[in-house]
Amino acid sequence: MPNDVIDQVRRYLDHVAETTEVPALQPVGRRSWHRRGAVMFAGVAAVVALSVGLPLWWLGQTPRDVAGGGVTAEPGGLGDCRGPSTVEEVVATASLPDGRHFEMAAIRPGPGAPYNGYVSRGPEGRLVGCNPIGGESHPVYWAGGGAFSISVVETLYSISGRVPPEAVTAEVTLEDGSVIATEVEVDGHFFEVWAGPGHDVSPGRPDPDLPDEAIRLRAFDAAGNVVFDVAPPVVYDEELLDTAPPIGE
Amino acid sequence: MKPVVSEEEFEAFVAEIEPRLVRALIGAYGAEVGREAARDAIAYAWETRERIASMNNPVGYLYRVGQSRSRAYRRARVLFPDVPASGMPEVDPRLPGALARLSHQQRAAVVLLYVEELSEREAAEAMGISRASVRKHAERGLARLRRAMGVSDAE
Repeated sequence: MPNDVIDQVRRYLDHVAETTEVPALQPVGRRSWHRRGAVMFAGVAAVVALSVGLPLWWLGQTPRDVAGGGVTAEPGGLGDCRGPSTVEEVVATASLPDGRHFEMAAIRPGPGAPYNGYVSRGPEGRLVGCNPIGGESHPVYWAGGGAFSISVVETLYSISGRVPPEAVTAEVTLEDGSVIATEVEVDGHFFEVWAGPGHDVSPGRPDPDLPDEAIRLRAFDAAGNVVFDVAPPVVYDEELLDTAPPIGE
Repeated sequence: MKPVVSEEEFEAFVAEIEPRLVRALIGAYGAEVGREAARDAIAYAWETRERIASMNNPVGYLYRVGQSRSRAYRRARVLFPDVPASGMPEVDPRLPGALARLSHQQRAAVVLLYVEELSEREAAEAMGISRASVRKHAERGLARLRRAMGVSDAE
C-alpha cells in the first residue's frame, strides 16, 4: 500500500475537482470577471434594498412591538432578521479589550418574520448581525442547510464548541475578565457569533473555536451547577464526543 | 506575492491558487459544495483583489471565504463520489467513505496540512483555530483514514 494515504487523497481530490461540474457562473473568458462582479454587485444591492426597504415599509404599516428586556430595537435594524420581531432579552454581553461593548439579544418572530434568532448590537446601537435560529428554519438549519444567514459588518469574535449535553449555558471568559455567555443550543452544542466575513460559524461544529484571549470555558446545567470547566485549549475526550454526536454530518 | 490588479495578473493568480483552493474546499465540504464554495471565493477574490494581493496566505484566506460561503450550500451529509472503477487503481475505493466519515475539522486539517502542505500556522489561520488544534485534528483524521483503509501506522 502506498503511503500513501495522503497521496491517494491528493489524487482523489484532483480527480473529483476535475470531474465535478460547476453549475453556474462558470467563467468564460477574461471579461467574465467584470461581468460576474457586476452581477454580484447588482445582486447584493437588490438584497440590501429588499432586506432594509421591505421591513422599513412594513414597520411603517404596522404598530411596532420591538421593545423589551432593556433593548430597544430600531427600524431597519431588525430588517436583517427578515422582518420586525420582538426583542425579548439580552442573552449575552461582551466588553472587548478595545473598549467596544456588544450585546446580543434573543428575538422572537413577529408577523412576517419567520425566524427566531439573535440580533447583535454594537457600539451606538448599531446592528452588527443576526442569525436566525429555530422557528420554521430549525430543521433545515440544524441539518446544515441554507437557512442560516448572517449579515455582519465587522470582524469580532466567534465562539463555538461542545459541552456536556445537560448544560444549558456556556460561558467563555476572556483574559481581560469579560465574559461571553451563550445558551447551549442542542445536545451540548453551542455557538455564538461575534464575527465577520471569513469566520466559520457553522452550526454543530464539534470542536471549540474560541478567541485567543479566552482563558476559561465553563458550562452550567439548568440548576446552575458547573458541569464543564476547562482552560483552553480545550481537548475533548471521546466519551464526551460520543454523548453529543455531531449535528449535520 | 505580486499585487494582482489587472485582469492578466488576476488570471495568473487564479491559475496559481485555484487548484489548491478547490482541492481544499472539496476535501472539507465534498464535491459539489466545495466546488461552489471555491467558485464563490474566487469571485470574491476578484472583487477584493488588491487586498488579497497583499496577503501572505491568500489560499488560507480564500479558504475561509469559501468556508463562510459554503453555508449556503451545505448538505446534511458530505458527499464524495466513488472512485472510478477504472483509471485510478492507486486509489483505495474505501477512501471516499473514509473521508466522509471524518469530522469536518479533521477533513479540513488533513487536506490543508498534509495535502496542500500549508504550515501549521497557515492552516490554523485558514481554519480559525489554534495550531495545536490543527495538529490534533490532522493527526486524528489521518489515523482514522489509515484505519478505515487498512493501513497500519508503521507503513
